[in-house]
Amino acid sequence: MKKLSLLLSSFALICISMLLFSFNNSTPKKTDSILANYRKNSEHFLQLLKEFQLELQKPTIVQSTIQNQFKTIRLQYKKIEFLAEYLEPDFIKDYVNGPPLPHLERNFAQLSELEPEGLQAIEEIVYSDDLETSAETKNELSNKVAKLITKVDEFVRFQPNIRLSDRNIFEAMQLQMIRIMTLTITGFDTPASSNSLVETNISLQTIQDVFIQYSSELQKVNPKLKGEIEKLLTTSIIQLQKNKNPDEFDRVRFIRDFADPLYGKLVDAQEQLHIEFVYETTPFKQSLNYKSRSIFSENFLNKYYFTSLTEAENSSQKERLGELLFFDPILSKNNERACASCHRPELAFTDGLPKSAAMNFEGTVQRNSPTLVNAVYSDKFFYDLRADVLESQLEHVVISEKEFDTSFEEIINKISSIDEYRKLFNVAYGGNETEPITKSRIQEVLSSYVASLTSFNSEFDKYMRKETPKLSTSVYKGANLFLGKAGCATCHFLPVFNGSVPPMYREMESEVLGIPLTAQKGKQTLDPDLGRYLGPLKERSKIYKHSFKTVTVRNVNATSPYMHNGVYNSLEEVMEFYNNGGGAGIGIHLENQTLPTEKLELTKAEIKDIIAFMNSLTDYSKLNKQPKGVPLHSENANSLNKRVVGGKY
Amino acid sequence: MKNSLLILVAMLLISPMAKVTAQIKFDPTISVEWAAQSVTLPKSPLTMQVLFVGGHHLVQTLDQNGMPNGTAVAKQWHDFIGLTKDNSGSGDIGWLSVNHEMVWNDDKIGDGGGMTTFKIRRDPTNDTLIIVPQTLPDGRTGLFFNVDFANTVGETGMNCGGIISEADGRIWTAEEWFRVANDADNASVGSNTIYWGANPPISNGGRGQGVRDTADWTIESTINGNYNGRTIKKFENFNWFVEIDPRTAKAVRKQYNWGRGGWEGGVIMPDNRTMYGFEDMSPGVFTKFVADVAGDFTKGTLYAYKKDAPGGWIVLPNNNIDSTLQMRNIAMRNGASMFNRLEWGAYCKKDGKVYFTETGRDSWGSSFNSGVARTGTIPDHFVGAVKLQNPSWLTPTMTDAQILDSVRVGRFNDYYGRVLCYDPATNKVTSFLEGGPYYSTSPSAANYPNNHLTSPDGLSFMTVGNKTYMIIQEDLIGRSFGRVAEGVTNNTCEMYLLDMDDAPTVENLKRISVVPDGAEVTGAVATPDGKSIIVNSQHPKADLPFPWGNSLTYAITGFDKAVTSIFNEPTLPSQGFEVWPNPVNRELKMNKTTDVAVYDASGNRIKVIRNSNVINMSGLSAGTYFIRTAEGETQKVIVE
Repeated sequence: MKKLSLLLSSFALICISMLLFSFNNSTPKKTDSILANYRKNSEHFLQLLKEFQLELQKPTIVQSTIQNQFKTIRLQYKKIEFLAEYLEPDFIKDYVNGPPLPHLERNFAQLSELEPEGLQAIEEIVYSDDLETSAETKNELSNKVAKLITKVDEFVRFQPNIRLSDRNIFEAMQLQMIRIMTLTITGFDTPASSNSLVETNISLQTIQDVFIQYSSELQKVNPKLKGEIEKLLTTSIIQLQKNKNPDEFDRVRFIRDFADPLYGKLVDAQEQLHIEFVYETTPFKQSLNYKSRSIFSENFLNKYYFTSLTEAENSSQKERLGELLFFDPILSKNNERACASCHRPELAFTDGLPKSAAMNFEGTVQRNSPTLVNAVYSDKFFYDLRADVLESQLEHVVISEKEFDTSFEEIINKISSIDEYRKLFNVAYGGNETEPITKSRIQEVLSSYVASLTSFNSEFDKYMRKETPKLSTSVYKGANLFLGKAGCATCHFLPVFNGSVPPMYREMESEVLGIPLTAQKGKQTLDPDLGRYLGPLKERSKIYKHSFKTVTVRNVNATSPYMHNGVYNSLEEVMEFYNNGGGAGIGIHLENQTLPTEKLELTKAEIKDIIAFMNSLTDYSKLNKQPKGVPLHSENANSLNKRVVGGKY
Repeated sequence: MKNSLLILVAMLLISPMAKVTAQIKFDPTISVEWAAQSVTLPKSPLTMQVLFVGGHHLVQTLDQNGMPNGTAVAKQWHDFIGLTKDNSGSGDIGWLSVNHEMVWNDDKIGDGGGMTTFKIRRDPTNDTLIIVPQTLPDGRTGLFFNVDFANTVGETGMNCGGIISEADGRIWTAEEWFRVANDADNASVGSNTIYWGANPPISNGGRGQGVRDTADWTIESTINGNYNGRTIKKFENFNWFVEIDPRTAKAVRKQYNWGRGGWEGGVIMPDNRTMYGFEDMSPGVFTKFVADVAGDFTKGTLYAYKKDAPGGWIVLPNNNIDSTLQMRNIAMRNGASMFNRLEWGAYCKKDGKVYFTETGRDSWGSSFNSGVARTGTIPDHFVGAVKLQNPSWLTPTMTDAQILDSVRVGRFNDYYGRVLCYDPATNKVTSFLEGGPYYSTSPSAANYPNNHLTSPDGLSFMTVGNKTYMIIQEDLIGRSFGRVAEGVTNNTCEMYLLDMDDAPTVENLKRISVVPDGAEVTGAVATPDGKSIIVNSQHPKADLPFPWGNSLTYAITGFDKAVTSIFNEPTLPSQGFEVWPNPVNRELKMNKTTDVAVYDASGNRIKVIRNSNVINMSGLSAGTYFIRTAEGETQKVIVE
C-alpha cells in the first residue's frame, strides 16, 4: 500500500513537473538565437572575403581601398571570434587568425612546415610597400585570400551541426574577455593595421549583444549584478570610442577598472543563473580556473594542469619533502650539487651567473639558469622546450654529465640509505613500506615544491586587483608602454608575463630574437646556440633555429644576467636590444627572426618607465627560505654526512 | 501517510525549481527528501590490473657499452603490445612484448627506443594475471626483460606498431618517424617523451644523446641478396621492421628485404608466408612480402599495392640494400597507390580479410601531388570519403576521376580517417568504416557525440566464444569539426568495439570507457581466452596521477562476461522516462535525448549532461545519486 502511494505520488510529481516544463519549453532557447546570429555573421564574413577577392581581381588596385576593405573584414571576424575561437581553436589558429609565422603541422608523423595563412598573413601583405606595384605581391595576396575563403567556406558549412549550451556561451565570453585583455588590446593580432582599439570595441559590443540575451533572466535573480554588467560594458565601450590613438590609450585603466571587473561579473552571472561550470561536464584538468574572478587573482591559472600532481594528492608533506630534496646535494653524483646550487632562493631561484658552473667546475652548463618562480605555468621546460612536464624536466638534469651526472637508481640507493628520508617518504605517501623511495615519487615531491613557488602579489598585481589605490607615475606609464607601444605584452602575456599563450595558457612560445654572443656596442655576432632546433626531434625545423622559450618578466630585478646566454647584465641593455629591433638592429640578420625588426622608437624616459614597471613585478621574498639542514646518515662517518644544505656550487 | 506527507513537502520544495524560464538550468542543490524511482548500477564486471609501468619497474639488462648485466628503470612511451602464446603446456598464457616509442639513450638499456618483454599467466581462482618469473638462456633472471638490440641488429628508434604473426606468434617491432639524416640521431637528449633534445650537441658524445654511436653501420645478416657486409649510414639502419624473440628478449633481424619506410604496423597471415606492411606517411604505401618458404622471412618477393595493376600488386626489387633503402620512391615511380597515413592492421579470422586504419591528415595540401609527380596513384576509396563529407566543390556531375584529382591537389581534408579492408581473394582495398561525424548530410552527426569515430589508429580483433569483435583505438590528429564535442579542450582518444556480425557503421561502435580519461590507449591485444584486453596507456600528458602519469601496460579483464551486456542493450520503451544501467561502460542509457543533471546524496549538483541519451557515471564512487531531466523527471541511482 505504502509502495503504491509512493508510486502514485511520484507519478503525480512527474506529471506536474512535466506540465511546468512543457510550458517553458515553448520559449526558444537563447543559445539558438546566439547561434543563429553567429551563423549569419560567419556567412557575412565569408561574403566580405569574396567581395575582397573580386576587388583584388581588378586590373589596378588602390592600397588604401584594400586596407579599408581588409579592416572591415577583420571587424566582421571580431563579431564571430568569441565563438569561433571557442569551438574551433586549432582551426582558427592554423587558417584564420594565427600569428603570421611559419609553423609546424601538429600531430603529424613527419616534419611538415606550414606557411602562415589567414588574416594576419594577409594583413602583412595588405600593408606591404609594394602592393600596388608588384604583380607578385598582389598575386600572393590573392592566393592567401583564396585559401582563406576555402577554409571559411568549410567552417560555415559545418555550423549547422553545432549544439550549444548556456555554459558554452558563458565560457566563450569568459575566454573572449581574457583574449581582449591579453591579446586584442595589446595589438597582438593587428601588427600592421594598428586597429586594436576599434577591434576591441567590436569584441566588447559582441559580448554586449550576447549578454542581452541573458539580461532579463539575470534581472529576476540579481538586478544589481545585471546593472553592473551593463554599466561596465557601456563605460568600457565609451572608453574605447573616446580614444583613437593606440599608442596613447590607457590600457592599465581599461583593464583594471572595466575589463577585468567585467570578467569577474560575468562569472558571477553564470553562477547566479545556475549555469553549470566546466567541472560538471568533464573530469579533465583545466588550465584555467573558470571560477576565478580576476585574471590577476592568485588562482587564475590552475598549476595542477601543468604537473602530474593532482590537487587532491598534493600535500604539505610532499611539498616539504620536495623542498628538502631541492636543497640536498644528494641528488648529484658528488653529493655537492643541489637544485638550489643554480636556483638560489635569494635570487628568485637563479644564480646570478651568465651560465652556471658545470660539474667539477669544468666549464659551464649550456644556458642561463631561469627563475623557478611561476615556472610551473608552462607546458614546456628548458629554453629549447624539450621537456613537456615538470617531472621530466628533472630527469634531464639528473642524467646530464654537466649537471647531476648520475642516475635515478644511484639516487634512490643513496636516499634510501638515510632512515629519515625513508620515514618522510612513508609519511608523505601514507604508507609503511620498507622501500618507499621510487623515481616517480622523487619527481613528484620535487614538482610539488617547484609548483609551490608561485607569486602574484607584486605591487602591480595588488594595484590591478584594486587592493592598493595607486601606482607611481613612472610604473603606471611603464605598464602602459609594456602593454601598448613597446609591444612587450604581445609575447610576455598577462598575467604571468611569459610566453604561455592566452586565453588557455596551454602552449608555450619560443621566439627568434637574434641574441648576440657578447654585449659589446656596435655590430655583433650571433650566439651560435641553435635553441629549439636542438630540442624535440619532432621540431627539428629551420624555423626553430636560434629560437628560445619566452621566459617570465616577473622578478627580473633579481634574475640578471638576462637572455638564454646571460649576455646582458642590465635591463637597460635588454631594452636597448629590443628598442633596436633585436638582432636585426645590431647587424645580426636572421631570416627567421620572429621579433619585429622595426625599431620601437622608445625614448630614454620611456625605457626608464618600462624598467620601473618591470621592477614593480617583484614578489619572491616569502619564498626566500631554505631548510636548516639535510637528513643525516645513521653512521656518523658516512661520507654522505659531509653534505651541506644547498650544496657547495 | 508519512510517505505521502514527505512527498508533498518534496513537491513544494521542487516546484520553485520549475520556475526557471526558457533556458533549462538545474538548481545547484536540490532537496533529496523525496522518493523517486530507483535504479541500480551494478559493479562493473570488468576489472583493471596494472602490469608494467614505464619509468618505474626495473628491467633486466645485458652488457651494453661496457656496463655489466644488471637492472635499469624501464623506458616509457609504451605503444604496441605483442602477445606470443605459450604452447608448451606450462599453463602460462604467453609472452608480452611492449614497444617503447621514443629515442633516449641509456647506458644499460641501450640507446634509441626499445622493447620490454615479460610472461603472464592467469590465476584460475580470480582471473587476475600474474607476471611469471623467468630465467632466460643468457642467465638473466627476473620479471621484466630489456630486449637487446644494440648487441645484435643495432639500435632501434620510435618503436611504434608491430606484427604478431597469425601463424605462430612471432613478433616484429616497427620503427616509425622516418629519418633522413644522421644529425636527427645525434645531438640529442632523451626524455620520457619522444624528444631527442640537445644539451648541447656535445662534441665528446656525452650522455644525453638519443643515439650516441652515429658511425656507419655494417650489416651482418643472412637475408638473401646483397646485404651482408654492406655499410650504410647510421640513420639508414632505422625505419625497418625488426624481429625479436620474446622468449629470449633478443632482437633477431632487421628486415632489410621488406623495405625501409615510416612503418607503423603490419600483418603476417596464417600461411606463415605473407606479410602486409602499413606505412605512416602521407603519401605512404601498402606493401606485401611473400616468403619463398613458410616461416623463412629471409627470402621472398616484395610488392607494393597498385589499385589498377594486374592482381593488384607490383613487384619491388628487394635483393639489395640500395633498392630497399629507396622502397617508397621505387614504389611510387612504378605507380603504387598512395595512402594518407596508414597505421595498424589486423587479420580477421572470421572472414579471412585484412583490416587496417588510415588515420587522415588536416593539412594535406598538395603532398599527394608530389607522389603523383612520381607516378603514384590515388586509391579509389577516397571517392566515397569525399562524397560522404560532401565538400562544396563536389558537384553531382563530377566523375570519380575528377574527384580523385581534387584529392590529389589537396582540396579534400581528411579530418576523420577510416578503417580499410583488403580482401586477398579479390586483391581490392575498400573503405570498411568511415570516421565521422560529417557535414550536414551525415546521418551520424545527429547522434554526435554519442557516436563518432575520428583518426582510427590501433586495430586488433578479439574472439569471445563464436563472436568476433574489432577493437579500434583513436589517436586524434585534431579537434576541429566535431572531432571533440563543443568546448572540449582535450583530445579525447577512445577505444571502441565493433561486433563483426553488425553492419560496419559508426552507430554500431560501442565505446569502452574503462580507460582513464585523457590517456591515449594503444596496443590493445586480446588474450586467447577472450577474457582480457591488454592495453597501453601511452601519452602520459600530465593529467593523471601515478601510475597513470607514466606509460603503463594494464589488463582489462572480464570481457567473456561483459560483451553480452555491451552489445545486448534492451529496447527501451519510447513512452515515459526509462533508464537502463550499463555496468560495463558505467553508463545510464535513457529512452530519450535530453538535458540531465546528476546530484549526489546530499543534493549537490555534480554533473550536467546536455543533449544526450547517455549519462556517463564513470568515476563516481559507490553511493546514492539522483538524476533529473530537463523535463523534470527524476530517478534515484544506486551506484555499486
